[in-house]
Amino acid sequence: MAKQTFTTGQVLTAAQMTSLQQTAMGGGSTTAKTTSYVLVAADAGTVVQMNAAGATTITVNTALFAAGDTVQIQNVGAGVCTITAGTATVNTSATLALKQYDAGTLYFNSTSAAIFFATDAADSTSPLTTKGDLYGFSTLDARIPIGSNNQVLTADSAQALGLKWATPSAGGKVLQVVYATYTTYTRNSTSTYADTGLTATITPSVNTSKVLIMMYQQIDKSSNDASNRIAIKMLRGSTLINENVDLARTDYAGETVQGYTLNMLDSPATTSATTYKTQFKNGVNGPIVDMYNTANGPAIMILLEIGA
Amino acid sequence: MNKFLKTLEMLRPEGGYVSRGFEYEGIEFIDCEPFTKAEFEAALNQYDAWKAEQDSKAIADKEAAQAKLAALGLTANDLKALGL
Repeated sequence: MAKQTFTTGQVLTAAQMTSLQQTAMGGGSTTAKTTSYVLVAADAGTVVQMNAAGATTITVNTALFAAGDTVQIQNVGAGVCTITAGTATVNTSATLALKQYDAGTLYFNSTSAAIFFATDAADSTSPLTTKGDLYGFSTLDARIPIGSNNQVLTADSAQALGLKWATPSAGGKVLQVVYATYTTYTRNSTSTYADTGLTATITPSVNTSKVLIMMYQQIDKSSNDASNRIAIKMLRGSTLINENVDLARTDYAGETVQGYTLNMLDSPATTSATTYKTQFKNGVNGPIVDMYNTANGPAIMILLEIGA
Repeated sequence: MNKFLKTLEMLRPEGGYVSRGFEYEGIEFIDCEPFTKAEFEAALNQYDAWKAEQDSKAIADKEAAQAKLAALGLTANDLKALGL
């Protein structure tokens, strides 16, 4: 029932009493709207229900309503209905943009100032706007925007909401492990370095990371010359990072097999895929050196990314 | 050491190649004259006879050397004493 001005001795009809009861219980007559609408004085005490597929507005102007008047606003349409301050002011702690099935009461403090009290507080007051947003709080509910990929939520009292998204510290941890083997028996009978076939590739997650290289190969010199040696080097890409040229040193003039282990720490200073490999050749005087790689005794390279 | 590698040594005693695995296709000729797969397979079949011949020759050479030492009135222990 729209707002009435009753007079002394006036007799209310049953229909008027029913309507008045509905209004008192928060219901009342509804003026259904399908397009944007400007409130009029007769809307006082009624329900203005918007039902439109597209976006609409309900405009609030001054000098139409008295202090204490109320207008219930409902949006049942799919389009967002925005309560818009025309010549009057409209304040709210919630949002004035009502999604479908949002509702609330417009209460006039004066003829020119209204407050919108959302009745669907849990939804209409949500500050969240984007996938991954979090609900935060300072003195009011507030939005904590989603961070970047791989960031973690971190407590930070310097932040307005006490939380921030930050890249995790990578210090002092094994961040990843790469394990590679090579099982093909390989021979080099030249004095030029050739790939042993053992290779492993790692992509550091942080460019300050170290890479701990652990490598094992079984090497064999087949020369009958006791002064024969084996030379092995470790490469990062094409960059030499370690070289031993005097392996298999022995006074024995015959086939000599031994294990060769290399443990070293490298600083690739990159987050790009980085390949490590070994090469080998004759050290001195010998025509043949072999890498004894087999299925049961493979050459092994393990790369560990160590956080700085 | 397997016959594949021994055959490589028979064909190219001075080396000059890189080999990966035990197939002809894994041979890379770097500083030596290449040979064909047919040549390699033929050598592989001839290896046992060649090895036996080498072993026989080594034994004959050893016996000849021992005979020369004996003619000089020397023994293998005399050579060791000389550091030879």
